[in-house]
Amino acid sequence: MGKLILMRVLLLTPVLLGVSIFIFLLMRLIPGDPAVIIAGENATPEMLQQIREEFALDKPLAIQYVTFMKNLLSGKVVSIKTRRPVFEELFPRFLNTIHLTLFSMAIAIPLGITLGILAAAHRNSLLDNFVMVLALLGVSMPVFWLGIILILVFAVQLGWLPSGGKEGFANLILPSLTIAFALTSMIARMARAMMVETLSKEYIRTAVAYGLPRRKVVYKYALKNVMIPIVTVIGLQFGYLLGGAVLTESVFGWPGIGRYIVDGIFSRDYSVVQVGIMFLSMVFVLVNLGVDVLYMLIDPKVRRDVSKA
Amino acid sequence: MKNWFCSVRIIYRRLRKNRLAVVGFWIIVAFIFTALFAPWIAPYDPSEQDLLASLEGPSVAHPMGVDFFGRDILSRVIWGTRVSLTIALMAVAISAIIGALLGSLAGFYGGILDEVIMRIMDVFLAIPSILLAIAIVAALGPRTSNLVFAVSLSTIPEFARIARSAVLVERSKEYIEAARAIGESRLSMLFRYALPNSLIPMVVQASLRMATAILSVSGLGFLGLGVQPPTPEWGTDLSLARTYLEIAPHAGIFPGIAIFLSVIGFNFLGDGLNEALNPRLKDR
Repeated sequence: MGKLILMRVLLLTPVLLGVSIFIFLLMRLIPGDPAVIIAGENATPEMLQQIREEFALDKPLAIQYVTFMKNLLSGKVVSIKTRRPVFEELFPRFLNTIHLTLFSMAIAIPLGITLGILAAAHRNSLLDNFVMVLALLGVSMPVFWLGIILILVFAVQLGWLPSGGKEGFANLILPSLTIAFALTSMIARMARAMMVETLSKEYIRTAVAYGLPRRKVVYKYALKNVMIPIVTVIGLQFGYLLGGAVLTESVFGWPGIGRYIVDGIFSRDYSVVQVGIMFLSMVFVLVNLGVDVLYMLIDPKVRRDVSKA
Repeated sequence: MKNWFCSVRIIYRRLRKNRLAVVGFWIIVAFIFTALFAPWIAPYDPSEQDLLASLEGPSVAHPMGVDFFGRDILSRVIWGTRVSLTIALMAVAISAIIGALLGSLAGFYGGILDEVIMRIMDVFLAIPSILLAIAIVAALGPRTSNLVFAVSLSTIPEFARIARSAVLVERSKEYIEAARAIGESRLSMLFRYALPNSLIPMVVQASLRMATAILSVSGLGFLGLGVQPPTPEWGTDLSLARTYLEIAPHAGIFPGIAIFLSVIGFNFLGDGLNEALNPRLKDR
């Protein structure tokens, strides 16, 4: 078991390496002197010289990359605008994003699973069709537009909730609802598909043939088996959510990591962009790994196969 | 090839029974029609400014109202259809072609080539797609060609995966063995038999990806990283409207409806196609 997990971790290394090389090359493609890009437009010649040495900009590309990674991993990369280490600024904002993401998940997971399972249990019924159409609308809705509509209704017209900021609990409601709508739809669709798949399995048909009440078969036996894959798929959405929060954060002025990166683009603060994207990709990959490992630990079928191997 | 044609007919028949897919199909037809005939449908020039009418609400002369610069919103939404659909279509077409090539090469030849291609795909899957697009546009500038590239790059891995698994399935079949026995070259087998057979799942994916591509393009526009003003684009127009939301909500509502509807069209069709292809999903 431990060996298998170790293997998975080792397999990640080339992926993360690839991501860092790609982002590094992309930032080098920005037209102009890289020293000026790193130091900012109004840097003094001495500062430029210092940057050139610090980032080995006069050396071959490979050495530049290694130097950049060294600076990055030691947390030395500083924001052009504020001159503070990027990581110090990034981390609190990352926590804000997590805060928003977890709250949205707390709404979407129970709701999405319930709707999906109910739809599957009553296939082709009115309820099923209704839930599925609603879910399709949910995944088709542009989040930034939904956010604007919610602001129009609940902040501008009714005046019940604040339209942005991060002062208290009330500020959290509209952005989380925005994210939760799409997320609930996604989860409901996946839960339904998996439940439908499970209900067609032999052991379910056998149980029904033996005369067990359908309600018991669906909500006890099938549900038990379908929960693990559903939770896994939801776990995989978490990383996606972290990146996708960019748009929602922009609509509501939520000081999260997505908005931090976008602000970095507009102030031409490329260190922020580079470190931010690298950091989010890393989290994304690690969350996926965590979910995979958890899945191996929980699912007795996978566990047994592993111990046999 | 005849076999393939038959299955297309069967799919069409199943598709017609799926109400949502039919609705999606007609929504898409309407949008394509709008995009093609924009100059004739739009009542005004999309960049013609009438500053006296700035932020006026919907009226007979301007059914969707007027934006901050006094431009007719209906005309901008109509012209925006052309911009959004073109970029999304180009992005999906490019990623489908590149993805199909890479995936089928990986699946067909296997071994080290497979490893290398699929690991590179993993790299692009590891970067959340909207961030990948943002990073590319930020580095290269928000030109249309860069937008197409930005949106297509994150979609390539998905197409590669589909092509790869389709080719893997085909490769083990008997007719490929037979073709090899009569001395057909590997490359021609790949292009004549294996690739056409992966076409149908690719079409489903393409329809669903059109939906995400439209969302990405308008999302980038909304962040100010997409199509630059004064070109009419739904997301870009929406982001301008946000500033005047309290006085003129109509300026934000209508471009959003256009995005929403077009995405619905492609999602409905893609979903319906998916069900038509996997009848197991529907009537079991």
